[in-house]
Amino acid sequence: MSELGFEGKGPLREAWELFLESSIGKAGLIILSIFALMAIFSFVPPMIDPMYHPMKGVDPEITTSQPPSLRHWLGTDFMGRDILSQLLAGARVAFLVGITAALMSIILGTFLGMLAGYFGGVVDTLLMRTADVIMVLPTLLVILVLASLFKGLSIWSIVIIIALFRWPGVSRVIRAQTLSLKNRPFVEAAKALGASHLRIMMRHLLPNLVPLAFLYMTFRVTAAIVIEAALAFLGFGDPTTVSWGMMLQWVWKTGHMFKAPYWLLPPGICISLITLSFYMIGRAMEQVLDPRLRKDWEG
Amino acid sequence: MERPILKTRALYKTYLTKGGFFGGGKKRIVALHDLNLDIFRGEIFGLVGESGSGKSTFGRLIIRLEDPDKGEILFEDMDILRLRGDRLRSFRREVQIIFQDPYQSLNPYLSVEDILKEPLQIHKVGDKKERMEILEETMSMVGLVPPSAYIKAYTHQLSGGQRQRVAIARAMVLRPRFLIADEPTSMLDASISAQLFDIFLNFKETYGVTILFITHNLSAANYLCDRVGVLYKGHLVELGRSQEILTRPYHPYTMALLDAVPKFGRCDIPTEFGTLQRQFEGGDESLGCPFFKRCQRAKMVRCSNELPVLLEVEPGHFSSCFYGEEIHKEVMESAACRLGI
Repeated sequence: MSELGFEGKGPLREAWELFLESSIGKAGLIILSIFALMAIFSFVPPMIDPMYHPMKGVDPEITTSQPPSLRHWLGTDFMGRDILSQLLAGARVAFLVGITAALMSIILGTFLGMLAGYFGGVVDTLLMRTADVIMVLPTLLVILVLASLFKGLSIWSIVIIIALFRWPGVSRVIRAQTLSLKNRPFVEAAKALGASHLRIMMRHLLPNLVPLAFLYMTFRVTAAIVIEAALAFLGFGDPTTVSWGMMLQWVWKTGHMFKAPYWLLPPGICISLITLSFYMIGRAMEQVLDPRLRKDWEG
Repeated sequence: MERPILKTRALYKTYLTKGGFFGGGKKRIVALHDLNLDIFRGEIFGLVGESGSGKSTFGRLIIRLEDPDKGEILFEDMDILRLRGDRLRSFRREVQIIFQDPYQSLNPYLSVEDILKEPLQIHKVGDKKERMEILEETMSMVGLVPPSAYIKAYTHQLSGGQRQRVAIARAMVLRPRFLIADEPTSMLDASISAQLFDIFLNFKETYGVTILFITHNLSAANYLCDRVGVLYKGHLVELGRSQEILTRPYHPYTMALLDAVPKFGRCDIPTEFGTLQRQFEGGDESLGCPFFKRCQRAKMVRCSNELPVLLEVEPGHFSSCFYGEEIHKEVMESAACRLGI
């Protein structure tokens, strides 16, 4: 305590500083920022030359898949499209799908979990039984059925379906946390002050739930990216979007699986690395939230 | 001072314990047993008793955090158990509570300013400038000086004593007429406790607030309270002016409590009153005196079969023991020295 008083350093700022102390978290952030740069730079190649457009741009001199060259750093696909620009565009799609789907499922899961935990009773039973039903449905299978029903799905409907299928896990965890929070004296004090249910939930419960929700979001991002890749690989992706899963599907369908490693490996490695980076960030956040997991913890 | 601000009539509260796997083995625990208690305007009333005696339950019922099974609570002659909506909210403005654990009673995600402004926001008191003035005045009164040094702090930057000051300030920003302090100092060390007691006394004098002080600490009750009620297993066993209760007890349980206070340098005389000498097994709990099983002076037939009622033994001094006066006389004659509190 200084004479100047306390600087307003909230627990979230403290958590961020703790996060930066963890090397696994920093590594995850670095890998993730590389992908973010890739997504940003995905707009550059088509501007240099229209033949670098990931979808429509075809090199007029090439008709078969070519290995890397100066003109095409990662080579081309079967019809002469540039693999590097497809890879960059794929990063953009991965972020779009991963983050929006995860964000939507987290927001849904957090609010429904909080409502169930706070009000209990009938609300709790209804919400949690719904969650149970959704949780036991095999996500991929249901999406495949829907995709064949509607003759292919756009990237946004895939995002929404992933979000709708992935909230129950989050809401269970948030509900449990809400149950332990709602009888804490600071919540009772708010009640004794005459605070409304809405105020108690938004001002007292939600901030205490956000770190946990954020942690689960990193895991959900991974799941969403993998589901999208799997769908695309199986041929149920959005045919107008270039995602990494889509690239893999083209490799496989055109019979280049074992002939063109320059085409097969980049999207495969990218999928693994981006999921790894979110996973690492999640692990570091877990350490921040649960001090028992910290290795360098000094009692 | 003699008009009660708060009256409880036959207040009865039970809890159901968790049963076994098949739902069996559930037990009903009586937390409060037909409690009749009047608390007078402007006094500090101490409620003492051991853990599980129901003293915290009493506080939680009064502030409507829980509802009793039976009975009435009258605040300013208004039945507060029937309050709903806006009227409940205006009641909440009049009655506030301070909890025992300052580490649990403040939201870690809010700054001191947020915490102290919230009550004013909820009850729409004053504009921005007035709120700031109220905040600074209250913070100065609880000893968070200068207020500007603490106002931006988050609770994890504060010590236990400072946190409890914030909790007291939160309870007092609305200037309630009735304050419940539920063991507010039991987690703090003695020097901080003494400072907080003076803050309570100051509030009582400045704002005329009535304070229900729930404690297991008899010296705190002696220092702070005008009157004291002794609770045992949900029964009020003795009630009166704090000086009287603590120096001239009538009920064997109060004597046992006084015996339990550690006495400095007197290890050769273990107990002064000697009322907690045996643990009688068996017998029906629901009949008889609640203290029967642990009371050395209990007499078999009457104490185990008849529930004693609270009777006035001296003006303003009530006790619920059949043999209170006998025991009192005997103890007052033999005890050479009183407690050092």
